[in-house]
Amino acid sequence: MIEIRGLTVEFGGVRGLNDLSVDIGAKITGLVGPNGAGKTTLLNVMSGFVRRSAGTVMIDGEDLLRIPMNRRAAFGLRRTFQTEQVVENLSVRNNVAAALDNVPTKGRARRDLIGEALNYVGMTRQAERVGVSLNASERRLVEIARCVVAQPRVVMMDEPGAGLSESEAEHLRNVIVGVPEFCGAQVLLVDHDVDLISTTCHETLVLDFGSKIAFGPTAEVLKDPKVRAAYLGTVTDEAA
Amino acid sequence: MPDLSPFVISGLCTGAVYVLAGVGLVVLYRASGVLNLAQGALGALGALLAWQIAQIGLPEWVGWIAGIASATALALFYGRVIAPRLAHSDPIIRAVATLGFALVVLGFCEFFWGEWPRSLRLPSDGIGFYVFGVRVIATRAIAFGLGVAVALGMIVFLNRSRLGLSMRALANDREISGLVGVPVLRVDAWAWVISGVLSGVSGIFLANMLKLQAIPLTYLVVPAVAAAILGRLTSLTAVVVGGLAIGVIEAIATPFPEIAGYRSATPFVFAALVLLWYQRGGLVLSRIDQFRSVPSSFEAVGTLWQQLRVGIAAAAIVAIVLPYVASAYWLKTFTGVTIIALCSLSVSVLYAQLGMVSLCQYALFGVGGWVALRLYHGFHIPFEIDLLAGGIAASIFGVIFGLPALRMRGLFFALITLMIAGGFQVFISATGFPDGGPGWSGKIYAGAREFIPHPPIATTDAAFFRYVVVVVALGFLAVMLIERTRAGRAWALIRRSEPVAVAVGVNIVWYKVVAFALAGFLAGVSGGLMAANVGQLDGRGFPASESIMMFALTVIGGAFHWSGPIFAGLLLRAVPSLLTDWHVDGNLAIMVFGSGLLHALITAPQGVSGQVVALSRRFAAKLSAAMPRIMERKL
Repeated sequence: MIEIRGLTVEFGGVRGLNDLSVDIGAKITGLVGPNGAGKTTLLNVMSGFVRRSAGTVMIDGEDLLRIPMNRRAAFGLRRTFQTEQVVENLSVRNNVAAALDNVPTKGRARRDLIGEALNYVGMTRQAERVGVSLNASERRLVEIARCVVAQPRVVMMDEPGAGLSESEAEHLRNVIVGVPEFCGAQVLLVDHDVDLISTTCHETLVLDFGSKIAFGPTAEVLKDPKVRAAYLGTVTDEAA
Repeated sequence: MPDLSPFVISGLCTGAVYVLAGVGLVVLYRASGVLNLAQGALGALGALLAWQIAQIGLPEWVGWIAGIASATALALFYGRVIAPRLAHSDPIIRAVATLGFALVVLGFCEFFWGEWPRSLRLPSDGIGFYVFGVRVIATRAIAFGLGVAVALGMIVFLNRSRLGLSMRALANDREISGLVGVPVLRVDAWAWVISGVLSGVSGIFLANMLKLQAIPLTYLVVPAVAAAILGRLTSLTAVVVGGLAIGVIEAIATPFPEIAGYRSATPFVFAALVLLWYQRGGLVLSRIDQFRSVPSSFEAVGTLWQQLRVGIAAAAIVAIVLPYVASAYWLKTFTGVTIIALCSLSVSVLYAQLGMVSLCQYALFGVGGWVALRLYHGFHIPFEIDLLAGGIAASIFGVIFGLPALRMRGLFFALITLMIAGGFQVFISATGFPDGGPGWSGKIYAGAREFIPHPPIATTDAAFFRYVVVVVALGFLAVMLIERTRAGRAWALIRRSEPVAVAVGVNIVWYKVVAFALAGFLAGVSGGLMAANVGQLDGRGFPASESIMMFALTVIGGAFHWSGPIFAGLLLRAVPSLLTDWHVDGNLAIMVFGSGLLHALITAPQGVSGQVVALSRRFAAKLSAAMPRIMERKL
C-alpha cells in the first residue's frame, strides 16, 4: 500500500507535483499523462533524486521520504529508468548481483536468488554474457531482474516498453504482469503506450500539470472524458 | 614590514597577463565546451618563434606577428581538425585531449630550442615611468592595460555583437543552436581564433616578464585556469578578479623569505580553495543522461584464473630470466618499469573503474616515497614496514585529496587533482626528500646524502628486481580480486550512472573513498619501491607534468586490461632509456606520447593493451579454427 498525501514539488516557480494525494493499493498501477505531467517527477521523489517541498509518501505504513536514498533499495523500493541503465562491463549475472549486494537476502543463498530472478525474466541462458553485448529488449529484462531480486515492496518502471518489437513487447508484458506474483511487490508503471497500460494495470492514475485528474480501475479511467481531453484524445485521433 | 607597493604593482601587471590568457580559455570553453590546456604551450611556441625571428635579424614586429599568427593557426587547426572528433565526448575527455596536443607542441619546442634560458626583449622594456613612487616598465604597463581592455572588450563583444550572441547560444546548447541556424562550425572557429590570438599575445608577454622557456610557459596555463575557475570557467568578470588576485598574491609573497619559496603554489592553492568553496553543500548526483565519461570497458572473458594465468606465467618468466640476460643498466630500467606499472595501475583503478581522471597519482607516489624514506632514515626499521607505511600514508592522502570529488566530478575533479599535483611540486621541490638528516624534514644540507639500501632479503639488483616483481604482482592481484567483490560491482554501477547506483542501494560516498584509498595505497607503495630502487628521491623530479604523463600513458597503455599499466610503465621508463641508447632526442618521445594520447582518446579507447588483446584473441580464434585441418593433414 502506497499512501501519498499532499505531495508537492516545486522547480523554481513551476509545480512539478501539485498537492497530490492518492492511495495506491492495486498490484499493478499505471501512471499516465502528457509529457511534463509529473509522472517521472513522482518516481524521482520516491527515489530521493528530487526533493519534495511538502507532503508525505508512506509505504506499508513507513515514511519513505525519511529513509536515506541509498537505503531505499534495501527497504524494498526498486526502479528502472527511461533510458536503459545496464552496466555494460558487468555480466548479466553480475548486474543482478550488484543490485543484490545492497539489499537483505533474508538468509537465502545469493546464487539461488540471482538464478530465480534471471529465470523469471527469461535471461538464464544469457547469464554470463557481458552487458555491452545485449540488445535493447535483453537490457530491459536485465533491469527488471535487478528490480525483482530478493523481495522488493515496490517496483517502479519508467517507460520500459519504449522501442521494442511486437514480440519483445509481448514477452515484456508477461514479465510485468507476473511481477506481483513472483516477488510480492506492487508495480508502478509509467508508459505512454495505452495498450500496455490497459492490458497490464488494474488501476491507473492520470496526472496533468502535476495534479491528479483521474484515478481508479483502468478501464473506467481511460473512458473518462477529462482524461481523453487531457491526454488520450490525440492518441485515439491518430488511431482513427 | 617591507614596502609592498612595488610588488603589488608588479603583481597586477603579471596578473593582467593571466587575465589575458584566462579570457581566451573562458571564451573558448563557453563557445565550444573545450578547456584548452594547450594554451600555455601555444603561447610558448609563439614566444620562441618571435625570439627566433628577431635572432635572424628580421624586424621584431615581424616576429611578434609570426608568433601570434602561428599560435592562432595551431589553435584553429586543433579546433577544426582534432576537436570535432571528440565533440561528443565528456568535457573531461576533451580537456585531457588538449593535454595531448600540449605535449606535442611542448616536445616540438624542446626539440628545436631546448631548455636554455633565453629572454625575449621588447622595445618598451627600456621605457619606464613612476606610479606612486614605484618605477613601472612600459611593457608591464602595456600588459596591464591590454589585459583589462581585452577582458572588458570581450564582455561587451559577447553581449552586443552578433557573433557574441551566437557564441552564447552555442554555450547554452550546441545542437539546438545548430537547428535554429547558428553556423556552429564558423562560430566555433572564431572562438578558437580568439583563444589562439590571446595565447600568442600572453605567451609573448609572459616570456618577456618571466622567462623564455617552453616548460614553464606551458604550465603558465595553470594560473589562467585558476582565474577561470573563479568564474566556473564561464564568467569573464571573475577572470579579471581572479587573474589580478593571483598575480598580486604571488608577488607580495616575494619579500618574505619564509614563504617566498612556496609562492609559485599560489595559483594551485587559489584554484583548489575556490573549487572547494564552490562544491560546498550536499551531495549532488550526476544526471542520468550524462555523457559516458569513459569509453565502455574491456569485456572480461573467462574466470579470474583464465584471465590471470597468462599474466602470472609472464611475470614468473620475466622475474626468473631477465636478470640473466639484461645488463645492469637495463635490469635497473626494468625494475623502474615494473614499479611505474604499479603507479599506473593506481591511475587506471580510478579511470577504468570509476571514470575519474586523477592527475595527482604521481604526487601520491611521492608521498609514499617520502614516508618510506623518512621512516627508514629515522628509525632503520625493516623496509617492508616502511613500504607499508608509505602506502598507508599515500592512501590517507589519496582519500583527503579525493574528498572534494565526492561532490565534484568530471572536469572539476580532474582540475583539482591537477592543482594538488602542482602544489605538491612546489612543496617537494622546496623541501626535498629525506636523506638521512635530522629533524622532521630529514634533510642533509651539508655533506653527502645517505641512501636507502635494497631490502636485506634482496640485496643484489637481480634479487631486488624479483622482489619488485612479486610486490607489484601482488598489487595487480589485489586490484583484480577487489574488482570481483561488491566494491567492484558498486564501482561499475557508479561509473554507469550515479542515480542508478543509488537506486540499487550503493553508498556512493563510501565506495569512492574505497577507490581513492586503494589507488593511493598502490601509488604510495610504488613510490617506496622507487626510493629503494634508486636509493633516494629527488625533489625536483616531481613536477605536475609527471602526473599528467602518468595519466596520459595509462590511457595510451590501456586502462581496462591488466596489461595496460605494464605498457604504460614500458613507455614511461624503457622507451626513454632505449632512445638514450640510440642517441635519439627524448623530446621526440614527448611528441609521440602526446599524439599517442590523442590517438587513444579518439580512436583506440582501450589503448595498446586493448589492441594487443584483440589481436591475440583473433590469432587464437584462427589457430583453433585451423587446428583440426592441421591435425587431419598429419593423419
